[in-house]
Amino acid sequence: MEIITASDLDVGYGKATVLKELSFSIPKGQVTVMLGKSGCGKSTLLKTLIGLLPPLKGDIFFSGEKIDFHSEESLQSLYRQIGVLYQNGALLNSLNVYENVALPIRMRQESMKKEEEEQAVYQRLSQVGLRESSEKYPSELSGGMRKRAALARAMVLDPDILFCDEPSAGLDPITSSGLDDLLLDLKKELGMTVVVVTHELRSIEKIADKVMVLHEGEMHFSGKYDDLFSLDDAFIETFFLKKGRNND
Amino acid sequence: MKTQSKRLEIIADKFLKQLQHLRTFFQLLADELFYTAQYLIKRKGIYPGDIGKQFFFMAYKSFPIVCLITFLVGVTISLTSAAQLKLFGADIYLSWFVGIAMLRELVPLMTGVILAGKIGASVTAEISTMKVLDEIDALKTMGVIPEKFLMVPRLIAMTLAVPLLVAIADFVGIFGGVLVGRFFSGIPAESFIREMLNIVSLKDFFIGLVKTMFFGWTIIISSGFKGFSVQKGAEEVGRATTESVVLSISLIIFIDCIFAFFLYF
Repeated sequence: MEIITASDLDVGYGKATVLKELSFSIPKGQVTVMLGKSGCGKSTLLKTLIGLLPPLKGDIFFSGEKIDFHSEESLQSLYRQIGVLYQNGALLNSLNVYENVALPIRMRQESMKKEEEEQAVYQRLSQVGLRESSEKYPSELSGGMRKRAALARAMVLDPDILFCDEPSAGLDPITSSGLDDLLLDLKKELGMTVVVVTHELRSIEKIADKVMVLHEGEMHFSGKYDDLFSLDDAFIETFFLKKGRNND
Repeated sequence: MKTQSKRLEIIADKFLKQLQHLRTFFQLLADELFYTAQYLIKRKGIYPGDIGKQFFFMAYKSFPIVCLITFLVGVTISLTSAAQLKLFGADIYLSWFVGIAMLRELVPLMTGVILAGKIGASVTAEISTMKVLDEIDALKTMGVIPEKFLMVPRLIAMTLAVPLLVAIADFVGIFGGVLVGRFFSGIPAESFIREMLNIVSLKDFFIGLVKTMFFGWTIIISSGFKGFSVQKGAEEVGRATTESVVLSISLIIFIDCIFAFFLYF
């Protein structure tokens, strides 16, 4: 079953089209990885999928409902169902870790009691291994801790789908692998749909159920990860071979 | 001929861009008025405790510099006028001049300029940095309206801080005048105050207060406008911060001029 479907989609900024005529779907309860060379439009597509950048053309359906990018109501309904982990965490520096994770609750579920809020926040912080650091401010955290705190914030309201923009960027392989394990746990334990933008081959190999390869402004490949290597495709071979060498 | 039409095209482009900026500025102003009213009615959409935090920053942290500057302005303007009044033997009128000038003009203007430099620059730097670090996008995808979440607490805090700052600045500025009157013109403090109260009324205090309130709101809107206009990069943060201070001070003087027309023309 698909949670997101897009048809005939053009994305870009102003008059500049970055990706054109994309038609794809994102399956529910699976990890979908979007990959491609730097500057190929992965983050632009992600921005469109999370409602921050209206498409230049085409439609996106979220759980069967069409997203109307000009309607605040439609966007708020989308935001209620998604969690986003940004590349650098995007934690608010004026709030400590606890307050950052509690922010979506305080802003969207104001009726929630203090005890319930604490339970939800500490549960997520325990999941990402940051319970002991709840009083710390983002400036006191390492890059990996910031990402984990941001992940806790993205999950605190149990979204249907979690979007992650380059979760491994700037992290050492061990921390990066730990983050991948967390994403897999979310899929297995909560049945959460996860969409990851990355070009880290180790991560892709570990977490991907479905892969979408973007190249030269188009969807170059969209399908199961296992099917990727049965293709006789020069770009994919070169991409994986070169990246594989770099990763080694 | 071609070069001329190219030049005209560039000028027209620049003009249209400025018009677009003007539209965005007034759109933000209208949005903020709406969001503030909405918050005052529904009490939703801003972070709990943020107004207090902003008020502490704006009032308590600005109070020493506002006092120092208005005191020095009080002393300077008194010395300059006392020297002139002495020539005509009209020393006692120094109190009239200091009272009116400080309450109606100098305290509002100096407080506005100080707040533009201190609060305006900080608001722009904070918002633009948040924009660069994707924090604004993060707020949006959490279902939060950044223009409300970040600006309304600052607007309300400014509204609460201004009366306190103006009252203290009026007192300190006039105190500077009293000192000059006492030690330069030989006017006893009691006589200075009595004479000043003959001409100065509560209305003058309120005129100054209302003006400063407008200046304060202008500073917050201008700073937010410049902060939200940043797209990417640390370089743009610096540029936006400088531009916000220049814009705030220019608008403060423009608004002051409009007030002067309404009050005296």
